[in-house]
Amino acid sequence: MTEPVLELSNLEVSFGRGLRAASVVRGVSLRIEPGEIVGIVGESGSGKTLTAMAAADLLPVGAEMTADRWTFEGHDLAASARSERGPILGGRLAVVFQDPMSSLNPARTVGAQMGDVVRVHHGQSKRAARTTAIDRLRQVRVTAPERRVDEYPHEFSGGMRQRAMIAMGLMTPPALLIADEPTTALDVTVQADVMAVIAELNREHGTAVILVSHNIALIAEVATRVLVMYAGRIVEEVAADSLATRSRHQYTRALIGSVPRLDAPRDQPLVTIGGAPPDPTTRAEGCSFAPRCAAATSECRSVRPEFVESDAGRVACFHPAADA
Amino acid sequence: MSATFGRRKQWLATLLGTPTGIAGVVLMAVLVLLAIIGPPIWGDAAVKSDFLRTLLPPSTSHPLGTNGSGQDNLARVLVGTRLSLLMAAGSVAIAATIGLVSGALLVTVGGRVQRIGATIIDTWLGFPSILLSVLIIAVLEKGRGAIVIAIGFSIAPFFARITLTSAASVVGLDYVAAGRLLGLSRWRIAHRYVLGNIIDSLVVAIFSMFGQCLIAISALTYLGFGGARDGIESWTSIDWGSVLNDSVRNFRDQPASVLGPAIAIAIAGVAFGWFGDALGRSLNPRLTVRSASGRSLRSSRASASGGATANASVNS
Repeated sequence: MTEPVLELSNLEVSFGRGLRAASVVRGVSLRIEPGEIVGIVGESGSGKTLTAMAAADLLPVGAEMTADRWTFEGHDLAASARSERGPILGGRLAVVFQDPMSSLNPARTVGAQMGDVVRVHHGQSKRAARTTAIDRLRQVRVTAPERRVDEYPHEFSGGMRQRAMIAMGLMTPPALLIADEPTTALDVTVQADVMAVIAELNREHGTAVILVSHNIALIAEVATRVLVMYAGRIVEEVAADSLATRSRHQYTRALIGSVPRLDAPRDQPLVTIGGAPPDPTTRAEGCSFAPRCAAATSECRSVRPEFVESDAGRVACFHPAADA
Repeated sequence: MSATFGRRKQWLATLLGTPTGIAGVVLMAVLVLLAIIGPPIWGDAAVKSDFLRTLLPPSTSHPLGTNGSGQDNLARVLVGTRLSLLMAAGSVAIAATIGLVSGALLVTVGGRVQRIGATIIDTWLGFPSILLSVLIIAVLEKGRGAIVIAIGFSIAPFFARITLTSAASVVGLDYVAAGRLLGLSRWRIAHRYVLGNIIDSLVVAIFSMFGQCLIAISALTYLGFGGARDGIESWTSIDWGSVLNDSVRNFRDQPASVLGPAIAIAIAGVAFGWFGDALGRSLNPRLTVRSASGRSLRSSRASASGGATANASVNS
């Protein structure tokens, strides 16, 4: 078995202490192999972003994190001090953030920011770093990169900024790219562009990708493996090509069912999942999706389902759905 | 590299891009020039007493009249430029150093220490600055050095508060996290990612404080905290506050003489404010480019790179 790029086991993330403590990630374990694209899907508040940020050591102030195991390219991050984690992750892990408006430093030119990576980690000269930056901008299909490299982020459009972020990751091809809702703030045509660039990065440099999104259709398209999260837990793990037909969890099915279809009659209301996710400060017995689940029984409300192998992954559900 | 050159041009264009910017730069230049050449040229006239010509009204030989010792009021104002500006610069430097360092430290440490620090700063800020200055001078020894230190300490919390607030609003942003992720050093992040984004408001604050410092210093020297004046006076002890003190004492007999120091203080305050504003604007790349491209859209003589930028920002 090859060494995973990233391994997390029993990750817990919480905010606050005592009775008001909100536990937002509850016992998540994941393993990312080199070169694969893993999608994490779930609705707002499911803990998908925090799981990804915890992996990148970028949790916001006030968040408490524990994990039984946390490794990156064989380095044990759980046992390292914060100052030691920086050099391990630096240049090997890249992140594309959700909001392209705040992910680039407005006070410096795009090229200068991109250059920082190679200047710090490879001691490249300013001029060489600029040349590399132009090359990487061209790779992500920014037009006229020779001119764009000296421009400031506010002179870039949203889609171009996301591509510039990816280009920044390309400066030293990273082992892992974490893309947190990279296309949510963009319009659909630009979305496709950005996804294509991410897929290319994966194909050409063997960079593993964690793609976080609430858009299950988008994830199904590019990912090889999909993790479905609900209320801070992974409820199902399934191969992307089996997602539509052989996913088993009732929540996964509900998510797929709520993707709008072009061939559906227009006078019908869109399919939704009734109810709301549970409050993260409560610790309910049983399956956290039970209150919203059509197939739920009394067992679901009292006992937490454990993972069982399914034919395309694993699932934590007492009433796995049949093939669609 | 032509691009860098273009940026520099834009920087200058922004600095001089507004009427107040031009006025600020010109007035600053005049003040600095006066501070340099004033004492050697008018130094003697400023201290030469003539007890036959005391409290003269304005005339061609004495445009602002003379004071109680028969010294030329205009010469004293011109000569006083150097000491006034130096004292103001000294106290702003002290205040900005203390303020920036403490604000930056608090942001770096964060958490509870930051909250306690912010409370201390707010309390310090709430204390009347003239009163605080007088207290500090009482502890130190009367004199100009004491005034500079006192003013510096009493306005330091202002800079600490601005640094704390603006830096705290930047450190939480994604690009700072991205910088950390690149494995950049703490210093580089503080310098390039945080300071770079708040420097424009700090510069504006520093320069607008300059004018206020000048007034506060003049007020304290006017109140007589500048130390006793005895023996033979030399031009090195003349500043606008002491000239104002003189003039006010003789206000009934020679009212025109207060105009000199009063106008000098007012002009300097306004000049620093305008200059700081323009400098702050030119340090913020968003404002730099916007106004530079605005210029190039208006005038056909725009530089090539300015024009390209304008086109680019229209396209994107």
